[in-house]
Amino acid sequence: MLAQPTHKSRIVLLQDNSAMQHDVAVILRRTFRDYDVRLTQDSTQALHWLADERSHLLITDAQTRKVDALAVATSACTRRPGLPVIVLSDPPCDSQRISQLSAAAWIEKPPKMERLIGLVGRALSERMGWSGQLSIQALPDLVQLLSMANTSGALRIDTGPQLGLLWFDRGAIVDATLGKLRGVEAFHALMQLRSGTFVLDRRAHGADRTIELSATQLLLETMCRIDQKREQECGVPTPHSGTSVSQIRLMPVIEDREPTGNWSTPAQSAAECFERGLAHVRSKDYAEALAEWERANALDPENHTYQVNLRRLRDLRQRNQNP
Amino acid sequence: MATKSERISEVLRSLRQGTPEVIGAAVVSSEGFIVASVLPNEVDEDLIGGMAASLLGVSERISSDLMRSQMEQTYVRSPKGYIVVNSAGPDAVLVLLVSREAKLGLIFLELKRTIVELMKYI
Repeated sequence: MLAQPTHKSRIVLLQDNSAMQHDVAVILRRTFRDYDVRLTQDSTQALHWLADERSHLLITDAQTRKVDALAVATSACTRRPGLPVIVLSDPPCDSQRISQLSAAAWIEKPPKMERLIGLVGRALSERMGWSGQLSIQALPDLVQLLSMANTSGALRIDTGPQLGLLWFDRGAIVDATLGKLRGVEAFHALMQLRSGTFVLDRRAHGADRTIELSATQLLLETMCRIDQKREQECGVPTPHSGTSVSQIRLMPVIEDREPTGNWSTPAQSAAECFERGLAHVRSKDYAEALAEWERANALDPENHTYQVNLRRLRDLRQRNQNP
Repeated sequence: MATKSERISEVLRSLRQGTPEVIGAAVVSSEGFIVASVLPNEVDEDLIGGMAASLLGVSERISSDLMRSQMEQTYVRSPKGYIVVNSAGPDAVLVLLVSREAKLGLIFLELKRTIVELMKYI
């Protein structure tokens, strides 16, 4: 019988010592019941699992008999910046290479299970970020949102054949890669992708700065390019056709001012209409009251009191008309 | 500037906050229209308006026909609590939903104070 596909978050364990692999797996499965603990001795299989967003942690030997496991971990971290890695190693370990891995922790073999559980728990609880599905034109909106939120981290964009990375540092876009492209050109190419998946890893850091332009400049330029591309595809002129960002004059920012003059919110206007309606009810002018309350109800349709009174008034008028 | 209904709501809110035994309160016009209310979600505002209008009609009739006087206060007691209807000027009544554990003396005292406050806006 085929195994059922699992949608649980994963912990991948790359180990060639079967006994230790078994011991570690038993402990992890018992402690982290919500996680699917996957065991392998094969680096290709490990990389395949780790490419999936459901994989939240890699626990690996520093060196297995067949492969350089640290190279596997480095490769996984290149594809998934910020992926936590816990390295099991005999002392002396290759501390320099381990430190190059993002969010790495090192534990001596054979691992003390309490310490391992502590490290795994910390690595999983520290995991932050979100993922989702992109639709056409959503990517510039997403980038704008992240920039305005002063985000730091790496946005990994995966379209299947192409893998892109967009690095943020406190809201600034500092680096972008897409295939062989890098920097501003990679950014614009990324923004024109039509669909794919994305993951934001807030812990990823350390990208080289290849982009000096501000996020606003980048986004304006990219919107111009998207418009031009659409014009070429559909033959319909767009507001930005033939314009580059350097030609667009930004409107001066309007200073925040205290509101002046008379103004009221719809809820306030509704309350005033309701008040006038009550006065008409008192003077038995039900037609006017009805008009005011209908206005109040239209201005503030969520207000239950207006709804109740309007219903009662309609009933009352109907009864009066048909005694 | 707050409207009369908003100010009345404010008075009702402060009554409910200061007297936890008051489950809900509403000011209802003599025609049975709700002027303002602070009622829990499970209480039907429509029902309160209708009930207050009926109770008011019967109470006023009893007061005028049997006692040759104006209705001041009516209350209904049930195993689950009380419903107190108190006149608030010639055109409105204050309806209170009160839990059974409440000391009615204290409730009436609060009621009197609230009516004085409400009369500024009704």
